[in-house]
Amino acid sequence: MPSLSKALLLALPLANLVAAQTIVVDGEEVGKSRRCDWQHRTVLFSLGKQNKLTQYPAADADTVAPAVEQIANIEEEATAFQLTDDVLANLTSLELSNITLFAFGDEDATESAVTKRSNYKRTFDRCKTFPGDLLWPSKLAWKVFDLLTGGALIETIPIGAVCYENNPHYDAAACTELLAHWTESATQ
Amino acid sequence: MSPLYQGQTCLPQNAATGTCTIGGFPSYVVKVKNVGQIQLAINFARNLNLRLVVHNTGHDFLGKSTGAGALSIWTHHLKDIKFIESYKTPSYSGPAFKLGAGVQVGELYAAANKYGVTAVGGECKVSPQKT
Repeated sequence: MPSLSKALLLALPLANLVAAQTIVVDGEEVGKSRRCDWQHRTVLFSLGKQNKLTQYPAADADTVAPAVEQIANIEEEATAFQLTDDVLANLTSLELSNITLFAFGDEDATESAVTKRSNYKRTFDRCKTFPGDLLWPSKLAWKVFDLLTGGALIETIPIGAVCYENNPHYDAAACTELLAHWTESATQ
Repeated sequence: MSPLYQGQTCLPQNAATGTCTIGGFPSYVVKVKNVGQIQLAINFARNLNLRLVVHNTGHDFLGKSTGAGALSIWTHHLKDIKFIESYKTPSYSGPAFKLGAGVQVGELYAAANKYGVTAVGGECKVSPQKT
């Protein structure tokens, strides 16, 4: 469903990115859409109950499940669970806004991908978005990302942080342990 | 594995005099166990113009598995091992393994032993397979 992806991406104005990170869930709609019509596949997605969310959602593991579905007849577990246009469409219909952030690119463009990429570079010549930039995703956007991946997101804390007294993760015992095993390959 | 590219920041030995910064480590890591999570991560990074790196077990001496301000896809836990008894390509026919990206040499050897075949791996038992 490339046209869907296209539409989703086109509906992604820049301003939306800045504000992106507010997720509005319509409680009524969510309640209705929980019903699962899929017959041939297990859809591992659902949005939870009583969302009376007008401004900030109580987005947590209870209300947002992993956005993957199991594809039939694939033996390997890792390959069997995929993000599909169907899952995205389902997410979109639930009015969990900014779900476009997780949409696929335009598959039709594969042929001219190289040309497109170079044009893109010439036109915008912009760098990647880095932490501290205006467009860097907010904590909430990362949280939703985390929920959609089923809690697979890890915010990096350097392993040595436990040794720094001025660091929130300071832990003298853990530091001693770390230093004792620092030279072992399993440590790093 | 690549302290130079990572920036040698936040070394536990420097705690008395230094400060702990994130340095060249990625900002966020997705510990992936299925394709769907990889797709989500790639789409998220593309749509938000984020730097994206792929980290397996961390044996890249050129530091490609790390990156400041990046979102990292951590493939270490993709451990599927599938034995194919008879596999044919134009230049090879015989037994083969289909391995998840996170399968390490030691694990492959154990599987090879189980099926009575030989697999040729890398330098040490924790190396990820280059397949």
